[in-house]
Amino acid sequence: MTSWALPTFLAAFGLLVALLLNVLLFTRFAWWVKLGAIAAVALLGWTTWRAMPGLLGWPTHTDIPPRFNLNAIHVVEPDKSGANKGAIYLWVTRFATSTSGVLPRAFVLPYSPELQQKVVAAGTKLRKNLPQLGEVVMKANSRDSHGREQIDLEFYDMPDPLFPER
Amino acid sequence: MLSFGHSAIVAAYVVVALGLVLLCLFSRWSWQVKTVMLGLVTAAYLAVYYSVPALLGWPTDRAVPKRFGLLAVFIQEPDKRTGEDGDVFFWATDLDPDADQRPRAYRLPYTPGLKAVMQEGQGKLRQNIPQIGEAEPDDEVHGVPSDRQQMGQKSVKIKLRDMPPAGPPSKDAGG
Repeated sequence: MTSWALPTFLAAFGLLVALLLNVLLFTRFAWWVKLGAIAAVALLGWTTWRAMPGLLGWPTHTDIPPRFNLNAIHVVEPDKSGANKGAIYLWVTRFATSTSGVLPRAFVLPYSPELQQKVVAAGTKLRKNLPQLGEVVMKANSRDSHGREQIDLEFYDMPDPLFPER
Repeated sequence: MLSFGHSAIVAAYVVVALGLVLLCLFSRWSWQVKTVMLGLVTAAYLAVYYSVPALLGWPTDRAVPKRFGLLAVFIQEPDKRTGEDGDVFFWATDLDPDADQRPRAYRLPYTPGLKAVMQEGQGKLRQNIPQIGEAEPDDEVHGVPSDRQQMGQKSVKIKLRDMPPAGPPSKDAGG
């Protein structure tokens, strides 16, 4: 897991607790206002704690590593009605010569027939026990509807010795 | 997609922001104090906004669906050198038609039995035999967890079977 994310999240909550202490210690608000402030921050903490597991496991559209080991693919093609725009899901681990200590992470990319072709070809090779190395290629002057730079992928066969059996 | 997790966090922050607005409007604090308070809450918002995506995509150890379509398996065996217990990761879609149909990554504690089940499933996936998984609560006691992080993790028993042949061909391609 990205090491800075959880400390940043906790720091953000720490800031709010500091704000709450400021209100509790240095104001002359009525007791019920202070009680309300405690309740609001407690609600925030509780909700965040409960909501976090619900966020885990789902694919993300950010931070795909520049080079990665492909574990699996899942392609959802768009439907003709246009309601479903399709998506390309990848389950990858950062590029490493050993599986020790690496965690797989799920990513989602916008569907395109060209990318589907590449990804399905790589998936077929995976099923034949040919490990695949993925590499991110930035598309020049191309941004998606959210303003994010669009990416393309290239896949290469990896030599077997990079995956020693334990 | 805005999931429960996202909307709950957004709602909680709206409550805090509302409280701050009330404080700014009805308190007699100096403008400097109010500015610092606004700065603190804005910093907290930005920190959460940028840190949540970094938490996404990683496997969860909760809520394995009762019935799922197995997409892939990734096994990390226990390592005696580092003392790591090992994990069995799998990527699956929930077969409940009302559930979110995106694939989700799960993590279960390594056991030789689970490894055997998952490896067999992975082998069949490679032969293009789609696998249906069923998760049941595992009542067997496997000893005291060696890691405190496992304290809230319920043990589940996973069974895999071949998916019966469907009528029309699926548009989804699995790897």
